[in-house]
Amino acid sequence: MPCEIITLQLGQCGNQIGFEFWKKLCSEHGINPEGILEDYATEGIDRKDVFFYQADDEHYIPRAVLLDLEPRVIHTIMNSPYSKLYNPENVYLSKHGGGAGNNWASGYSQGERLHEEIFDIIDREADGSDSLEGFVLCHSIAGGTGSGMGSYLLERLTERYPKKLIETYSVFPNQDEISDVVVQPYNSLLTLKRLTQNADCVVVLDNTALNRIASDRLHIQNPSFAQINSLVSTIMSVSTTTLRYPTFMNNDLVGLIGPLIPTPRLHFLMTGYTPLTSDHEATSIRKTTVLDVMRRLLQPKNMMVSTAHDRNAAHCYLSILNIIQGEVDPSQVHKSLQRIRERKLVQFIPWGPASIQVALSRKSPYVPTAHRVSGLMLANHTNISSLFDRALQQYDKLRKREAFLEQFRKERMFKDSLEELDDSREVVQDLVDEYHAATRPDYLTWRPASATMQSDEAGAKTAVKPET
Amino acid sequence: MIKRESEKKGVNNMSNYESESSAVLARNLIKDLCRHLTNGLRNQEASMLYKKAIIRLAEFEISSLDNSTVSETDEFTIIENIKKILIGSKDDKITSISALSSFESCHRKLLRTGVIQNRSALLNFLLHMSETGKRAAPPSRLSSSAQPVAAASKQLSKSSGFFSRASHSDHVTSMDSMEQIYPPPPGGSSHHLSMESVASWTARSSRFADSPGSMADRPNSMGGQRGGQRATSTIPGRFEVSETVLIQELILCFQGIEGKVIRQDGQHGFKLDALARVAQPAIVLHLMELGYLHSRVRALCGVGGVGGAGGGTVMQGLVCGIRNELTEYYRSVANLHSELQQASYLHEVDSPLSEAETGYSSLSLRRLLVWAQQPLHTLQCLCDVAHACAARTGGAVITATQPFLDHGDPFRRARCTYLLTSALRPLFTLICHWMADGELLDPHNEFFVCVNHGCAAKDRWRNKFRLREELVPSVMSRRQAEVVLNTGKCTNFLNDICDADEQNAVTGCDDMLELLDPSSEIWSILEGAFLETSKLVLDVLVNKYKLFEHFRGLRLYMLLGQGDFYRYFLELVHPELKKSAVSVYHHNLMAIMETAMRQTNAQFEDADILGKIFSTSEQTYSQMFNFLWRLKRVNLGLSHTWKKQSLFLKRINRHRKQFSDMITATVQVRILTGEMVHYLHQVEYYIMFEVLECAWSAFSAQFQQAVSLEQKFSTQFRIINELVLELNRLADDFLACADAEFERKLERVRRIEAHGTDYTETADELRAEDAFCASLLSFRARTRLLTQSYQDVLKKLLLDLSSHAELNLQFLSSRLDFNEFYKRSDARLSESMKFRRCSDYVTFARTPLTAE
Repeated sequence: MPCEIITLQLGQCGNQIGFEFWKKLCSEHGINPEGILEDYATEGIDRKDVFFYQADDEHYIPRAVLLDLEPRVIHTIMNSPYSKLYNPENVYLSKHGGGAGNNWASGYSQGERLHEEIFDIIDREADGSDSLEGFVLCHSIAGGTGSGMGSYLLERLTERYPKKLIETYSVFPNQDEISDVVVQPYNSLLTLKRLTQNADCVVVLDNTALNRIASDRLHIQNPSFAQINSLVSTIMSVSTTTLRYPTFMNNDLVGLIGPLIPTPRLHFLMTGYTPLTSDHEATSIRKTTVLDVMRRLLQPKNMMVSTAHDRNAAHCYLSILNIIQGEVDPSQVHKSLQRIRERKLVQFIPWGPASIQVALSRKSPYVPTAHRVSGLMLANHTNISSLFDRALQQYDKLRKREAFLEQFRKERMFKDSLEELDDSREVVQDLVDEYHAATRPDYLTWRPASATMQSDEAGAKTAVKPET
Repeated sequence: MIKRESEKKGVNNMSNYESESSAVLARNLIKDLCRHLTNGLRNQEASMLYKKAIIRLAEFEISSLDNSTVSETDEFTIIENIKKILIGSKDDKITSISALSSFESCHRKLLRTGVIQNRSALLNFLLHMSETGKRAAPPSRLSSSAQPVAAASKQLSKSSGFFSRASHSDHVTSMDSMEQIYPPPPGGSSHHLSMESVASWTARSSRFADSPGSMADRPNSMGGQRGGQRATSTIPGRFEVSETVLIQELILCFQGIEGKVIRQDGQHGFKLDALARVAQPAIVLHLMELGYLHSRVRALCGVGGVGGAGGGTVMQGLVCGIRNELTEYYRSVANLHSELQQASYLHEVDSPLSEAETGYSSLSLRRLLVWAQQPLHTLQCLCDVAHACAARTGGAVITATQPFLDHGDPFRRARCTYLLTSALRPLFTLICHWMADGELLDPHNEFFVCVNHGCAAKDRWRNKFRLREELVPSVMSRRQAEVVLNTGKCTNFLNDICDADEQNAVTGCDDMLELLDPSSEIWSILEGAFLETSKLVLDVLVNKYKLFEHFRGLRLYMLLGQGDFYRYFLELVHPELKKSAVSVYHHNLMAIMETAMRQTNAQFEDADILGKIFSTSEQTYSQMFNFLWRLKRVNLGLSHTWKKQSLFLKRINRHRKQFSDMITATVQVRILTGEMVHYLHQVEYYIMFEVLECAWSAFSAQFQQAVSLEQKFSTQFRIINELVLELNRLADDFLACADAEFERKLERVRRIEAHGTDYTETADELRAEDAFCASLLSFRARTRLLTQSYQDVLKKLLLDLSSHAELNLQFLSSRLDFNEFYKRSDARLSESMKFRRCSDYVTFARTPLTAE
């Protein structure tokens, strides 16, 4: 089937959010935990084949590859009711099972070592699809497996499948609590470099914001992983809803992310979701017009990324895609857009056309929801650079003290030099700079600082050449 | 006692004659006298005597002419009084006895016939007449009492056939009594409601005025007659016509048959023989109107009139009703006739009296006049209706007849209702047939539904049958007529197109007049039938022919709503479309389409519907399809480019320091691509969403608008599409070139690593690099050029859009330039947008949003 997407779940975090994601997809498509189509499910409404393939008439199997270097999470999954959902051949556990020890370098080198086995699975999965469109990678950027092995996979996927898109759902660490992973800044930075260079689209899931939303908005004192993950799975499922319930637009990954990413490197997307209510809360008394939904989506408190307010830069949106589900009067959409435009509720880039796009999407008929209208915003906003800025600062703190580097030096990549770290820092710094540049009208003539020197040379060269 | 009696009588007589001025005084006097006379007797006897005296006195008072205070309602008392008069008024006993016996035989006959209901009033009337007669002229005989009536009727006849209250003045008593017998028609001539009827009525009376020998030229004829009466002997050939003969003649005349005295005047009317002398010409003339009306109605309903074959069934129904009324009239005339014969027979048997005594026969002219009142009204009514309906067909007949219903006279209303009902009956049959069987059985072309023969086959639902407004009967409202039309249309549709066996029956109710009442049963039956049939049609269309599936199919496939199908189909067909037209084969395309169908959700659609949709050749659809298809294709090409660019950048990123120029150039192209992606998405979104999705109800209007949009801005859309394709080519060229360069460099690095380098290799390398730099430069120039021209065209488009009158199109322009990027870079645009913003403001002021 066309436009298939293969999901790769990496590490503890990746597998957890992946697990929630599949749970959600199953319920939305009327597939029971064993992969059998429920009796009430009817054909023709949805397209299950984007994320599932059919073993037989009724049996649906996720196009998912579960990878981890330690068995804990995968064992939990395999002991859950959903154990029979997955193709057991697609579940890969490292044989020695020691994990990556929250070390990016360890994860990366283990990925390198195990890549043949891993790519056997991925190749087989890719061969099984008619016209594979791309991969979705679920991982966290702070740990060992998700970040290290994830980074390795990103690089290898780019080489091996140069014509396939890669979208990642990357969980960024919680800044509010002190992490027990001391090398987290190194891990993040190294992964960010790969996300910048090898992914086509990164949906940022910021644990800081998710936890804040859980405690502030949903009034959960100590939000559990499951609660956070259900938020994440909601975002993931809604952001893929236009692929799964085809309408006239945004039916493929390119169509979905293409308009969102006008310039190649700035492909980190924020998400926002409304209405945010927990299960125990009574049915919402909020107004649920399209305008309300769209306006709430623009409020920072509904964003799933905690961005620091930056007074120096006039941050702005590169693009916005609102996926609105539920009973919506289409004529309201236009009015709402006009309203937002009139009130200048959104600040857009000054160097090119940009707008709020709206995709009206169907809701799953099998999942009852308390809310009449709900909306997900996928936004490309320059302020996301503050996350990277923060990562850079933390990295710099550690790097200045040369702290915890011995763990990295154990691996081959860092044995001789820490050049990789410096390179990553440069890439991320360029990214931050580019985001800042994108807020200015002269963005079109902007060059990365790292490239300026060389391009000057090149410029000089080309300026001379025509004369000779 | 006898002496006393006679004394008393004498006293009484004396007192009666002397002190009649004061009856009270007289009574007191009588009382005293009685007391005095019965002085020695008992009180009882005295009172008895007094009573007798009083009665006696009272009897005298009755006979003393001026007394009318005693109750006269009792028939017996009246008869006794008459008898008394008869006896008392005659000097000669024998004649008085014969008169008495004659009266008694008359009264017997009166009792026997039972025609006259209020006998006592009649007798009272006659009694008074005789008294009046006595006063006016010397009493000769009872029948002479008719004279004052004749005198009165002179005045009456002035008001053309209607009794006028104006004649009341000098004959109050008699007229009051007459009114008791024949109540005057409620509502005079002025009470005609319909203008038409008034007109026809006036025409009728004016006809009388014109026709010689009729009542209206009375000044001459009456004068002549009077002259004749005065000098009968002077005009030769003049002859007297007896009342019996006249009555016979009149009865013939009533049936439209010419007699000896009453002749036809050739214009349906009748005239008296100029030489004939009749007793009461005014009454005769008045009665002759009946004959005229009869002939006229016959003529109107006859072969040459409205009742002809051309009139249609409704007209025939009306004529049928008229004929029934006429039959009733004939029956009445026949009764009259037989009575006449019976009467003459009776006379022959009972008392072969002289001709002068025929006046006593039960049929007099006067009685005829009384009898004629009802038929006169009926025939007038029939005549008016028939006249109004002349030269009309179908519902128009009913429309013409209906105003006659609004008549104050319940009698007339009943007649008209009867006529209308009989006229509606055939129409009702037509309607039933139409609604139940869906067939037009209309040989006379009179039904208010008719076939539109000129309509095309695809338009048959909307246009095949239409309503003929002028033939819709006034008893039906416009809505009801439409309900009838649509019900029949549905049934017809079911029969014709769907071959459905389902039939529904409009079951019986034959009084369509009830339609006038909106809450009536028949209306609810009609409405019910309509709803039922429409539902049936819809059910058949929906269930059997999958109407909604077709609509949905059109929307999904013709208007590219089924994104996944088109996405995949385009992807598959893309290589084919790149070939030249000669090498593209139909079967290849079909095979590709089938693959696409199999692979996407299209597989769940009904194959039949898809087949129909893809073979549809509706012009608007294909126009729209082409537009959307191009849009989609360009869009897909663009996303391919986008994808290639980002994939290329991903590959090159690792060596970003080496290829920073290449990256910069790519990013530049990429930004232009992004701009175009933005444009295309907005346009596609606008078309798909604002036009198609929002206005699914007002579908076709919006649809047309979108098509016209495409036509209006076709050049610009085309140019933009071309530019996008140009970009595709450019990007492809560039990427191929850059890719080659990239590969070459990687290869060189590998070669250098493997074999080292030398001068020739370095020189080659430099040459190749120069060439690439040159091409890179040219690429950048081309990109800039393309960006420039693209932005120019887009600005032009935006300018056109924003200055366009259609508000929706202005919205599109605001969509395309949401963040006012183009506006800032173009003075003209910002100028025109300023205006647009004002207009926006107006629209939004109208719809205040609650949430603030």
